[in-house]
Amino acid sequence: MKRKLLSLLLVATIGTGILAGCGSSASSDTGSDSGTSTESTAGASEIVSGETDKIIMTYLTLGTTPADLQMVQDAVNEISKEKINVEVELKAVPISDTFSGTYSMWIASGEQVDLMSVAFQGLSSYIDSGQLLALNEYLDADGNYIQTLADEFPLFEGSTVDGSIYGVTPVQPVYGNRGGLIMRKDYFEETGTELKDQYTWTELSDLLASVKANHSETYPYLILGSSISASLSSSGYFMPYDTLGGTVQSGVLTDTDSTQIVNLFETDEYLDFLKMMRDWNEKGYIIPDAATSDSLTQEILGSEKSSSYAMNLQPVQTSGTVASYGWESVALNTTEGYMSSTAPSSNIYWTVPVTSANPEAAVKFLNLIYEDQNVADLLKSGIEGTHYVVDETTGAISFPEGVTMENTTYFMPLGLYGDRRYELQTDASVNQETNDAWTESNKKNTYQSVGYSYNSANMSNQLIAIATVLNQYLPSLETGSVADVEGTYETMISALKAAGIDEVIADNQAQFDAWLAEQ
Amino acid sequence: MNQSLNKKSRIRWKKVVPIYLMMLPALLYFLFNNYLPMIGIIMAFKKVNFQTGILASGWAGLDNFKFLFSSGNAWIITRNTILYNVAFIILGTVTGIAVAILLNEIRGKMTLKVYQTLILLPYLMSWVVVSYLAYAFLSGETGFINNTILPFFGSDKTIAFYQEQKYWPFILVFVNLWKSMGFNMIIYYSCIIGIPADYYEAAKVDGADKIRQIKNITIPSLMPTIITLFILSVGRMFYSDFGLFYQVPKNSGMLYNVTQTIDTYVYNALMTQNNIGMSAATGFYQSMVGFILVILANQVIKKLSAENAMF
Repeated sequence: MKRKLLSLLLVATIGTGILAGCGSSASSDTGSDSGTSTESTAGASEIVSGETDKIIMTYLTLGTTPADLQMVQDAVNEISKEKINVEVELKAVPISDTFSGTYSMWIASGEQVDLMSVAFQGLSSYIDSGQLLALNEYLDADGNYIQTLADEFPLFEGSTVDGSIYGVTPVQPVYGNRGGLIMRKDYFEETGTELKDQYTWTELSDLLASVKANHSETYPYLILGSSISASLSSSGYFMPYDTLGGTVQSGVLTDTDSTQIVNLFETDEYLDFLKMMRDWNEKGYIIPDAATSDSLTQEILGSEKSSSYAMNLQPVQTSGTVASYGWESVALNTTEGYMSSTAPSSNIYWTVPVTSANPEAAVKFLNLIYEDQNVADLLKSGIEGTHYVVDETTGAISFPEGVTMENTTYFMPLGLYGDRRYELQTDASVNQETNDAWTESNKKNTYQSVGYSYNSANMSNQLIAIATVLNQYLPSLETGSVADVEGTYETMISALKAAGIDEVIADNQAQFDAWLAEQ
Repeated sequence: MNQSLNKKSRIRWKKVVPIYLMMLPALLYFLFNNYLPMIGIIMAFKKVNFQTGILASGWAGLDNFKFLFSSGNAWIITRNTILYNVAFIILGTVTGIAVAILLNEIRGKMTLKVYQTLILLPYLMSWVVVSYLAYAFLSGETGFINNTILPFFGSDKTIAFYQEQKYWPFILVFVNLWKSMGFNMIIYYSCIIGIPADYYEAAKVDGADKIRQIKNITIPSLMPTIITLFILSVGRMFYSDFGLFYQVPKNSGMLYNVTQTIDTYVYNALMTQNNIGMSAATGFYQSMVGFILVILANQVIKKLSAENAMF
């Protein structure tokens, strides 16, 4: 009897389990199907009742959430409620978290996010696993202004797969790449050298050596393991190459004339770069704990512990203004300017995930950011008078009296919003003409792959394996933390080969050749 | 005959139903908390697509397992998990008993309390705090070892601890012992207190010294506790302490060969690679090996002392 009862219970358990499984699948299926229909009815009723749509939008930060975010959100809502009847809730998230799967966790757990900014990483892994909605129909219905801009600017570059648009990039004031080092102006001037047009690696090393000699307690070059990832190798700031609309994981073109895709990590130049980083680390130009440090870039640069960092340059930086870290800077070019296949998107995409409750309202609001510069300005610079003041003669913005980097209640260095040509500038000497000239000069060095974007759908497993290898080795190698550079480097190369990097590159090359033939 | 049987079974039902009812809440708990999530195992065999949902996603066959085995990672994480646990179990038991015996010899009430608290304190800390304590010792820039101890011995070299694999088996074992010793000690100490004092008095009369008393009275009396705790820890052998293996080495890639265990591997797979299928595959592998390990351990114990076996 007892046994029978037990087995009955067991059967019941499994039975309900299966039922529950089916139930959830059925409901999720109908959920996604009926989703659109309920939304369209909601859209219809909205006109009748005038009910405000509420959307949730991610707000990328550098680690600390601005104190006045709520105030800015209210100001944005005032405009958007009146214009498109949408209310937005800003969901602050540190950008470093988004590199390590936070977005996928949200989407996997069904959390509502309507507008999601994916920055400084590729979209392919999100698209491959079906985490994003195709925006074509929404853009047709509610994104008229974006569509108009897209005729002129490459807004859908890098986010379009087989005709489906998955993301919209901001309009950039400048297009193209140029690697460079931003250095404290006073430290640079102490070395007594003239600013050169372009610096070779030896010249950079010499310069850092003299900075170190003057300030032996500081580490003149800041690079942190946490800012290096499988999709963001810091080598790009010191040597030009193009990632063919993908990342370094799927191969690069090293030369503007070349159509031969190669493995960046196998090039001699890359090994030389690693050796230089080791040299810098040994000589004390790099913080000893760089590979594993949890410190934020802001903290270190603000605390005078370090005095330079590498980035992709734009005219804004070359003019030598007060940078975000409380000191004036000079920009040292480390590469020539060039136009790469990822330059159009600058790897910033606005997307709508599948967990969006109201994609129409999301795209409507996205459209408003591009159309109404006040909204973009609010998000980027805060409220006029409270968070910044405009110089009447030059039109440049600065902190109001008494407000500094340390005590500002709203400061956002990331430029992610809307039409960035009209963004408020901290430096009046930068205008659209200088920007356009810069873009033009970059165009002289255009890679063969501009306009091409690698579709990695068939190689997703290999790419994950490659990313694992790179995540394991790059933070240590590129901060020069490993004593045995060549040995570790060899191990990484063979691990990359085992992970299938050659297969991926061959696949990429085949697609690229087919694309070239079409051109 | 028939009637009496009916009557008998009716009485049994009356007795049995309330007992089953009492079992119901626990049963439901296990059903929802422990059994239903098992359906998730199918994710290990799917190419998960968020748009269509888990069940409607395409099958991936054994593709998700390929990476785990082809890269040699399966071997490394299995080896690390098992060897570290073996070291923890053996050293944890030995030091726990040793400290408990030493503590038992302390007569001053006040000092006893102080020692007991100090030894237990690390156990109450979170791994994040412990990881920063370790960092304070090991850091290349500001670490105690690199800045104070090494110069003291006349060495001006800096050891990059977070980049060198060879130190970590010792560091991890040491840190784990330091943290868990207090808890192990308390269990054994409470058993030692329970040993009747007459045994020791009789031994003293017979002329046994302290070492003899420990060898012939304390240890044998602790034996049942030691065996029970041992079985319990063997059953958990394939779980590793995530905090220890992730926080303390600061997830440094260069150390993965000696610090990566199954739990940290699953976490890294999910977080940095953004792939649910592969994480589920690794989790599935963990359950399988863990299951085999528990069965094996039980079988061995059955051979040694049948009454202590779990099933």
